[in-house]
Amino acid sequence: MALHNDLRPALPLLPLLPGVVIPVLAGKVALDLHGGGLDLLAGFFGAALHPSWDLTLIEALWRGLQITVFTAMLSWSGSCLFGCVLGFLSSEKICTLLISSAAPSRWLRRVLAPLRSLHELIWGLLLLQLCGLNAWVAVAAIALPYTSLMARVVADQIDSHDTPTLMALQCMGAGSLANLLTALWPAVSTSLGHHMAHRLECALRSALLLGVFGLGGLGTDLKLSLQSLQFRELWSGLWLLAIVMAMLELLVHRSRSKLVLPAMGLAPLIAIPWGRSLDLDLAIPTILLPANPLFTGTVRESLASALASAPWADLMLSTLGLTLLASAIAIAGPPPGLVAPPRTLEQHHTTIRLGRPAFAPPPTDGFAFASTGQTQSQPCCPRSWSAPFGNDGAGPPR
Amino acid sequence: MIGVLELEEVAFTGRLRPLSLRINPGEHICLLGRSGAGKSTLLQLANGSLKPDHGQVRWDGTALPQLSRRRRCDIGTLWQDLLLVEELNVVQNINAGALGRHSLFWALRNLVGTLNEGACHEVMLQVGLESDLLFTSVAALSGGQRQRVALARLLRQEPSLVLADEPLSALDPALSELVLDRLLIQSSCLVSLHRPDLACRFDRVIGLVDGELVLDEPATGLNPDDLTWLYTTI
Repeated sequence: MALHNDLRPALPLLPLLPGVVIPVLAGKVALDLHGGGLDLLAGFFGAALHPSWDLTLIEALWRGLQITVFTAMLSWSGSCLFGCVLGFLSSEKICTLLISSAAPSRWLRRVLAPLRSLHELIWGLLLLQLCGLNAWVAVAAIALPYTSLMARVVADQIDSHDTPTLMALQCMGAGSLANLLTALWPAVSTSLGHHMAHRLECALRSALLLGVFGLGGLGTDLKLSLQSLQFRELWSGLWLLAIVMAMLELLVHRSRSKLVLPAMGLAPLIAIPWGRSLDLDLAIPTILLPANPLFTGTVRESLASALASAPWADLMLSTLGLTLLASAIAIAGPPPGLVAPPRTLEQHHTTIRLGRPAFAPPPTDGFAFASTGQTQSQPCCPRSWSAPFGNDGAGPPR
Repeated sequence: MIGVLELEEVAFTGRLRPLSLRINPGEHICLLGRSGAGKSTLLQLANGSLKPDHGQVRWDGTALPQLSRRRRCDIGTLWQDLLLVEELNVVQNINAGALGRHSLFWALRNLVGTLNEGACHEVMLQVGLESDLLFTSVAALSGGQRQRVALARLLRQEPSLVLADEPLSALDPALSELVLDRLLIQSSCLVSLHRPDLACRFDRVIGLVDGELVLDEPATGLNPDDLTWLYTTI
């Protein structure tokens, strides 16, 4: 009887509660629906089968694609390299092993957290204002949050790894670094390799997105084509990008991520001369120079007054509101799928795995960015970590 | 006084009551006791992987935490769970035993290529491992083969004192014999066993019951049947 009294009833419907926003939103969408844009949509999708083959356009798109890939490669390489180093330093296990205290690793984690709290797009816009249009701006905008994210992943992987072998080798007299290299690195390197490969895909998408917002590359070309409703030109760019993404996915898959580490080291050696050959501005951003107009009094004053007059409360409230709305849909959306009979689910899952292209379709990404002007959340974990019916992006399975 | 391990009033709350023990050079000691009697705890305290709540463990007069990396190599452990690096192959695992005597660069070379193949081959022969297993991942080996890889790693370490935690469990009689032979040719060892019948092969027998040292006698003259009480006491 006592046991019976201690039991608490489960509340299986509680996670569905945020779902009340879904019918409200669906109703709103239904009310606002009109057929005014159907011709445009038909034109857009129809153009997918008839992309433009104009040579001048292809040349421009090719150059844009090279800038996008250059940005992605450099930012990816830098973020993986620094992310790994910072990840090792912010791992409590390693910190304890090296200096017998985990406190510095915790402090480092706190320092790194704000870097990844800002989306690369926000970093891009901020750095664009500070440094002007420069090839390094896009690279830094992606590298900053990615480095922090990579550091977090590396540290979590190391800390979650059960390491009695570390202790065994330590007892045998192995030095701390040699011990880490032998007992820990082989255990975490495979999953880190997969994650790094995935980050390259993400970096490519982010570089495209930054282009849409004016930082150059293929994204800028796509945006211009879309704004002028040149759907055939747009699709030429989207297919070009799709081919690159598919090749990248194929390469990563075939190499089983073994090429990731060498590629990480080689990327800057290849990308910098490549960037020079594309006539990109690779000079040091002016923010690092005393000549930066931001250091002058007039600009500083106007910046301060702009900051003071911004409607911060409204902006924060609306951002919070949108976040809550999106979270409610994301939380309550997937569970109703479980109501479907298991056989249907199994078939559905199989269809997704077999029918979905192995690479994320960049055309839809680009279209979404360009048409809405809003950011699209980036997946932050490899596809292999995804749950069959949704991915919370929480990280690798423990 | 080279290679003396001294445990002085060492205790670990809830697992081992205060005990003192001295392992002299050239001495082979059999450690007996039921499961949970404190054998593994004693071995972990002896190799420094566990810090005692009370007392001190010294190797040649130096407390274990103060031992230099090189001198730590003098104490080798054959763990009950083997603690091999599953992602590495046999030769890399065996070489891991010699990490204490080499530099970080050597450790890096061990990860990316084949190192000291001859030395590894030699210890593999000593433990009866086929040489064609040299580059096989340890994850793909059978239980007996893994046990011998762990023993080969220990031999590659070249310790003065071997601490072995139930090294014969899950081994067939022939393999048990081979492993025990290899342990007994080491200069000194402390081996925990569940086999009182093997006690006569050691110089000294110590027994634990519920974390308390209840037996410490020379093996000569001890009848294995007289040791069964260590396993029946409740």
